[in-house]
Amino acid sequence: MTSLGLALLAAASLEQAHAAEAGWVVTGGLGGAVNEPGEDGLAGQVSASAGWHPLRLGGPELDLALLLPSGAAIGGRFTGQLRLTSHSLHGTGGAVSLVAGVGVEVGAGHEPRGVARLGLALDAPSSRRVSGRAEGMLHPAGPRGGTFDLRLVARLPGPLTRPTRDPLVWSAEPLCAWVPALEVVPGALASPDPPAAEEAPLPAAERAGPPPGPPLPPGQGLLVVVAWPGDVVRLGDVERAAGGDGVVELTWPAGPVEVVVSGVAGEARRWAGVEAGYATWVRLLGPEALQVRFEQGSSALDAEAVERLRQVAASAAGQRLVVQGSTSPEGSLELNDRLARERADVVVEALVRAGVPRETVYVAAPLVGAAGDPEALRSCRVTLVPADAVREVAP
Amino acid sequence: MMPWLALLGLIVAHAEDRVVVQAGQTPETLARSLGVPAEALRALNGLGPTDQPPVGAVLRVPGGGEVQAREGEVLALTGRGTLALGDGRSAALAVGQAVPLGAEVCTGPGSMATVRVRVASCSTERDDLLLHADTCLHLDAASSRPGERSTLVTVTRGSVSVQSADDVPGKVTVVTPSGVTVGDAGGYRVSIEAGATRTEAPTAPVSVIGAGRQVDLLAGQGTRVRTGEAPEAPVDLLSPGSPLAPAAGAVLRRPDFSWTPVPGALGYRVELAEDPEFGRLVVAELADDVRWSPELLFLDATFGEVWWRVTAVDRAGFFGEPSAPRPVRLPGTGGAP
Repeated sequence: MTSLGLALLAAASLEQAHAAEAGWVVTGGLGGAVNEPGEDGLAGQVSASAGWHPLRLGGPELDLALLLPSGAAIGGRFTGQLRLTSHSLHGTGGAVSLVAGVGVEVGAGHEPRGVARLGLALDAPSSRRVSGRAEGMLHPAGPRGGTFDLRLVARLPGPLTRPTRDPLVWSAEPLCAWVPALEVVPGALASPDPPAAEEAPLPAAERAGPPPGPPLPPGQGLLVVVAWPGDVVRLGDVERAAGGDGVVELTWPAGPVEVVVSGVAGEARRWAGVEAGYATWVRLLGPEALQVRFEQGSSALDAEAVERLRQVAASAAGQRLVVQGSTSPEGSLELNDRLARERADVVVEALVRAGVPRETVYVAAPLVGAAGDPEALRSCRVTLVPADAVREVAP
Repeated sequence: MMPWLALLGLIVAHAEDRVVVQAGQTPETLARSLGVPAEALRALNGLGPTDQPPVGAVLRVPGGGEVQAREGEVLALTGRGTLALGDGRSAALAVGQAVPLGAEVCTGPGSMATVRVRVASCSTERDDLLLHADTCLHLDAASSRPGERSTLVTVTRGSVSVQSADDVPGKVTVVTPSGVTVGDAGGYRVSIEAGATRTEAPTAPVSVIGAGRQVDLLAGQGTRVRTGEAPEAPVDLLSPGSPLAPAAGAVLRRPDFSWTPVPGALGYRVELAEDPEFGRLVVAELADDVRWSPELLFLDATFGEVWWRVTAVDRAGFFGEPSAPRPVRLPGTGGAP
């Protein structure tokens, strides 16, 4: 076999299209140098650079016979399958795997010319498609060889939600080359060529949702406090009221922080560790249950209990209230059952007078004859629950 | 193969390779499938011309041919673990660490790690071994020849999930004190119990060997093999529940996960990962109800997205087929303090 070399160089970058909804555009380049024609085709040599990631080129249908010895007609065809795979290149909806077919045609004659065609299909769980094209040209460098380059432009259907971390593999057995990992540089790169006709934007239904928020500032993490709606969340001097979903989100410097949540029935505290670049959820529900105490054998509310029930009513918007009366174990079951129900009724009426819609109050079966602290059992427990959870706590 | 392909820089090495004898295989059929001389295979393993190794025996495979060496790499780590090299050196486990043949990887309590075994040259061909908490895995052999990859590991404690990628079959053999599990397409899990090994094959068939007997599991089946006994009859694994909340693509503000109940389920396992293949698992928790609302949750916010799935576990301890992975987005940044 005569000496023959094929050096493949590849590069890829990721650009964000100028139109936000157009998502990301992958551009890649593939270059080769062909020289020293051989009797039986081309030999290849792969160049690899440290820090680059694997690219494999070729395929079961690869038939590379570009150049013949000097003076002979140059003709040949290069077809193959390229598979561009990144296991962590995530567009919205799934991992992206690009399957590409490549054809390079080399014209007859002493001056080689080349045309590369590339079709792309996106293999993603969401069945979103990516369209693309590639253009290539074989540049003559004398009758004994030349170089070719191939440029790839592909449009992903939506914004990437995360940059790639895995090697971007442009693959098929058995050739190997290398391509750098794609990096996402939002808005930093120029617009690509105008899209071809087949690159029409995808229907709105297939587009991605809005991109996530900006990256976290250096040295900061995201702290998400999960509380009851209306609870007040305090971190140091910062105070925020939980919204309708009971969540407060804050960027916070890395390090330990004490989270304090004040709810209708008191205060809860917990230390949380915030780490830079991480999101930490802390579920810290303010004491969700209010216990209204009664004198033994009594179902009368005192002034303090009425006031606390008024506070509960003011914070109960969007939630259900579960009321459960109970008694200490002394006495007969029948008597205690009636007493527990009376205590619940008294509490319900106080809540309704304070503005709570009656239909949002759920009265649970009384707790009678239970073991435990008799003082605590002479009570009525009022529990705030999310509106959709009542079914689960109902007797 | 075209002649120029020989110059492409593929690393061809005489790798240490091992193979487990499965039902119906002889040294001759094994040698033929491996592309090595049968005499050499017999000689290397001390087998006479008529000796038939028992089902489940691990044979060493002579080098040569187009066998490529492979090694492992720590792809992901949650918590902590150790890496012990064959030469007696050991180190704390870290992402990116090479796991050469003969090395042992152990995860600590509450920790998880993924070891990716890939062909030494550039390749998408790889097998991921996910070590669950308190697991030790010894990488015995890993090789690749045209059309097939082969990996053999020994698990001495804990639980390992196997995932294979690429179109080329990846045969991964997991040897435990009680038995051997051989699978060609990944997607199975091997767990060590007291005096037994449990194998679940929710997505692809595998073979389980114990005491010289082999039981072939269909996709969706599991079995248990007790030390010194043949594998038990296959059992059908539970079907997956349907995730309810959070919805696919939703922003994860309240970490309240819920799903539909699975008949016959004793409990559920909820998993969160950074990739839809669950190779980079970051959370695995058990729930005894159809919801999971963690008190604390800690996720890398760099990539803005995690995937979650749920698996039902039955009363015999078999984990069923996981639900389809669902992406959820991490919240954006809120106000600064």
